[in-house]
Amino acid sequence: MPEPLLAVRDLHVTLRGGGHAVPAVRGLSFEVHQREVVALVGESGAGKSLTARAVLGMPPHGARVTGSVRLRGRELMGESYAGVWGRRMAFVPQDALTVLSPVHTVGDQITAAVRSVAKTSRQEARSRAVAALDRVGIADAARRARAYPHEFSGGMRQRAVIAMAMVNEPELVIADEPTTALDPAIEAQVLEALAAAREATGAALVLITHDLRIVARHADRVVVMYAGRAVESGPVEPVFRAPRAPYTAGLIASLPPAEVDAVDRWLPSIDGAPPSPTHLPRGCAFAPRCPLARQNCEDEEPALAPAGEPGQLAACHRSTELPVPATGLFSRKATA
Amino acid sequence: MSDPLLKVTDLVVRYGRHTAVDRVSFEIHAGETLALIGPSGCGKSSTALATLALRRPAGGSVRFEGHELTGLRERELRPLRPRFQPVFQDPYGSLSPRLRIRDAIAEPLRAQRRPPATGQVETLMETVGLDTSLGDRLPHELSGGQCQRVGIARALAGEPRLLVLDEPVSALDPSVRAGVLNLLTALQEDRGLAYLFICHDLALVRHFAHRVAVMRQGRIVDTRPARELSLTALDSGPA
Ligand SMILES: Nc1ncnc2c1ncn2[C@@H]1O[C@H](COP(=O)(O)OP(=O)(O)OP(=O)(O)O)[C@@H](O)[C@H]1O
Ligand code: SF4
Ligand SMILES: [Mg+2]
Repeated sequence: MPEPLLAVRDLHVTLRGGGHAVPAVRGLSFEVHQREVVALVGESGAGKSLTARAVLGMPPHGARVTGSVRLRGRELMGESYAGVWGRRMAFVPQDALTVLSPVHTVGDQITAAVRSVAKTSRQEARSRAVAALDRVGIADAARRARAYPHEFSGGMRQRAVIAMAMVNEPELVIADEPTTALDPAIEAQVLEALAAAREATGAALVLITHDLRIVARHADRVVVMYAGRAVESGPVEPVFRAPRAPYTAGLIASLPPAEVDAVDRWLPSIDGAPPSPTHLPRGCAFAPRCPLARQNCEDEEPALAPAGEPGQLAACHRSTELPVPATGLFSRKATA
Repeated sequence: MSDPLLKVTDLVVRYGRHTAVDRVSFEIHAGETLALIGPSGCGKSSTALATLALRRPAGGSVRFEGHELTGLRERELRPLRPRFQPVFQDPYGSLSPRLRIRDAIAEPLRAQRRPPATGQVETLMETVGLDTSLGDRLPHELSGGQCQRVGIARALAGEPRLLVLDEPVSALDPSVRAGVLNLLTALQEDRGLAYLFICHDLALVRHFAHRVAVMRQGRIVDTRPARELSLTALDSGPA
């Protein structure tokens, strides 16, 4: 196995809230190989965005970050991101307006991004900016480059941000819920634009999402997060077909089936809600909602360990008993 | 077939000169779910608001349980409102931040000058699967899924016949979503509630709805049984 492009080891991100330490990411490890698409899935509060920000070297103010983040073997944790940011790693946020300035044209902003990392003439930079817009499917790119962000639709703005992230041909792009605010038809276009730009530049992608169908369609590997930890990871196909962590199984089971069953309108559902990071259970964080929980689950937090197919890892004391048909595992009635 | 519970005919909604809803017609029977789908900005929410008599239409008719709602004054609408209730997307935004959960649920009844009977709020909380100990909390002390259940309990307080659900689960975490949908299904089966269901997620629509109306630029361009909905209906289909 070649050295991974990105290796994150034992990442902890601790915030301060109301005088308390809030452990938001608790010992997360994962790797991304060259040209690979790795999806980071989990619900709000699971720590996905904090992970992205820590890896990108821009944690929120006051956060304590520990662990290791290596890009091609070089440690970035505690080091300067100069020369990394924008050039080797780039970011696509959920809301384009957080990175696009309203007072400059889209073309000027992408041109400036080019010139911030390379000594090129204005003209050369401009033509690369236009080419980048063209690559994400913006028609008549040279003319549209003269527009301001607010003159673009939401989907076009998101594509412009992708163009800006990709223009310097980074090795790794981290996209945090890049399509959550968009409707499904536009979402599909934006994801296609992202895939096209990735193909053209050879960048690897960390795709943060809570939509398992996007994972199934776009990712090679998946990391499932729950309460600040990875509960399962591995190649998408075996993880979806035969999950080894009950939480993954519950998420997959609660998706509406592809075939509509005329009689059965109930979806298997996971009772309860994710724990608050300030009130984590002592053992497995999923235990209060887990249909397989036993006494030792409440006492001891399970570690991520090989389970199932090669490359598949799960953090569950009972992973060897899985997969059981997940539809039988979770209740199919309204929770009382 | 019995009379529809809701019959909307040639509904028109305008914002200034812009026509957001253009002669839309549909009906919903008791116990039925009609989904309204279509791209962002096509007029789904505007249709929902006019159906709820929260926005005055520029034309057309909204008949609910035999009453023509368009043209009624708020005073005349007030006794009818408990029978058709909205549940909106943002579970936090739709609750008043300073009102305790117990009072938020009782609020629509109080507005009707029908203060809740002893134990009625607790019964409603149990119906939607909320622990009654949560009654003293404020909305920000609940999870998104719990807040959405509060929204549903509130809507149920006046014994509605129709709920208008505008993206009721889109803001919820995936592991919580199925539970809220199951609750809505259970309420429909127990009480014969009718739903107008707006949702971006076509797989959920196909699972949850009986019929689907596809909107585009203010018009309904297609209506069909939910099971015949293709999951790419929004990309292709009639323009
Ligand atoms: N208060 C308002 N004033 C002016 N225009 C409005 C107003 N509300 C909505 N519109 C416009 O009316 C049209 C229909 O809007 P509506 O909110 O009904 O769409 P929608 O189908 O619910 O979209 P989405 O899927 O994004 O929620 C859009 O063009 C919108 O910009
Ligand atoms: S460790 Fe126990 S509680 Fe946690 S997921 Fe596995 S079986 Fe469930
Ligand atoms: Mg809407």
